[in-house]
Amino acid sequence: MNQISGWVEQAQTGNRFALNQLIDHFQTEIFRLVYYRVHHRADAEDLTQEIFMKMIRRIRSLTNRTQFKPWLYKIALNHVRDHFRKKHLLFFLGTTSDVESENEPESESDSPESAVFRQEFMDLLKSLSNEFSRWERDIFLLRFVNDMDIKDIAVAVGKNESTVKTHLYRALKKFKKHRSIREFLQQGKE
Amino acid sequence: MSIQKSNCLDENAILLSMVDSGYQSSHLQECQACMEKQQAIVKELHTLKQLSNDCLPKPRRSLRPVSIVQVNTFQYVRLKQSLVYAMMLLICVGGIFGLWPTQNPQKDQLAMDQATEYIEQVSENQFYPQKDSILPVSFHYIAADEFEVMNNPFYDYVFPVSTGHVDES
Repeated sequence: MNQISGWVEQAQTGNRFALNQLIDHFQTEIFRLVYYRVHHRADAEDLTQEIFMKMIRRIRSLTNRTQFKPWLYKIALNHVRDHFRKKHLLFFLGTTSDVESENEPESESDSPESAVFRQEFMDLLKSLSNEFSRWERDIFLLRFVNDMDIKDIAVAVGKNESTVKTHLYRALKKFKKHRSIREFLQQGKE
Repeated sequence: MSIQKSNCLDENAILLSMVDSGYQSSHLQECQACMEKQQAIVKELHTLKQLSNDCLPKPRRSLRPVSIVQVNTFQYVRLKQSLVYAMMLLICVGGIFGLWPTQNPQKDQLAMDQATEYIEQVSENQFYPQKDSILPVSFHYIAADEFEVMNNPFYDYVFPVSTGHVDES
């Protein structure tokens, strides 16, 4: 964490190397966060780039350098939300055909079995996400897909810790009731 | 650690203990059955995390922004701001010294009078050379009869207007 704070400090003075270090360090995490919300690789790539552009523009305004990670996640969550808002508006105006993007086939090197497995996992995760409210989904994914702790989640979503715990508890209850994803996970474990 | 306590936690309590690490921690340490229940869910969630890592596609291009132009962007924003301020200042100064046309009624009135005079001249001299005619001189021959209607005795006979009204019979 000290190293990240150091990079943030240097980046705030305009050091490009430090900025690149920060981007390289967090790019997979941010890409994961975006991908499991938009379910489309090209869109996720674009959004991730835009998130880092925002980070670069705003990094000078970050006062608490130790809070860089939740601060970056907050930018990412807001950006994804804006993306969906824009998409819904375009759909409403009739300038786009569908709100949800079609998921393209993944890498061609995948075997058919792994492609099917991946698709099934994605479908189940989508179906689970659909049962959550907005906050439950965000908090559940941050906790169990992005592996963030409660404190950081609270900063990222702009809520206090007890609210985060309440949403997480509700999400866990829904997860517990979702038999198909739990069976899939139990099989996947074996 | 005892094998099982008499009052085991229900499912909701186990979920709560996962959200809040302090909740029922002493019970969980002592009760193996509850601990196993909790661990089962934790394992599922751990698998969820692993699979989400494994199923994450690799980006096909670099995720670094194309150009990192922090200083230039900042300067550009400041330049734009200063241009806006300069424009606002110009408008205010112009307003104070009455440079804008609507602020000087005397000048406006003078300009209006000149314009009216010019329009009247143009109207009279160019488009209406004779007061009785609405046509330019070169086209008077076309409608020559129209202008002689009142002097024609035939029309006086048919419509005697000398009395001031047309005879109905």
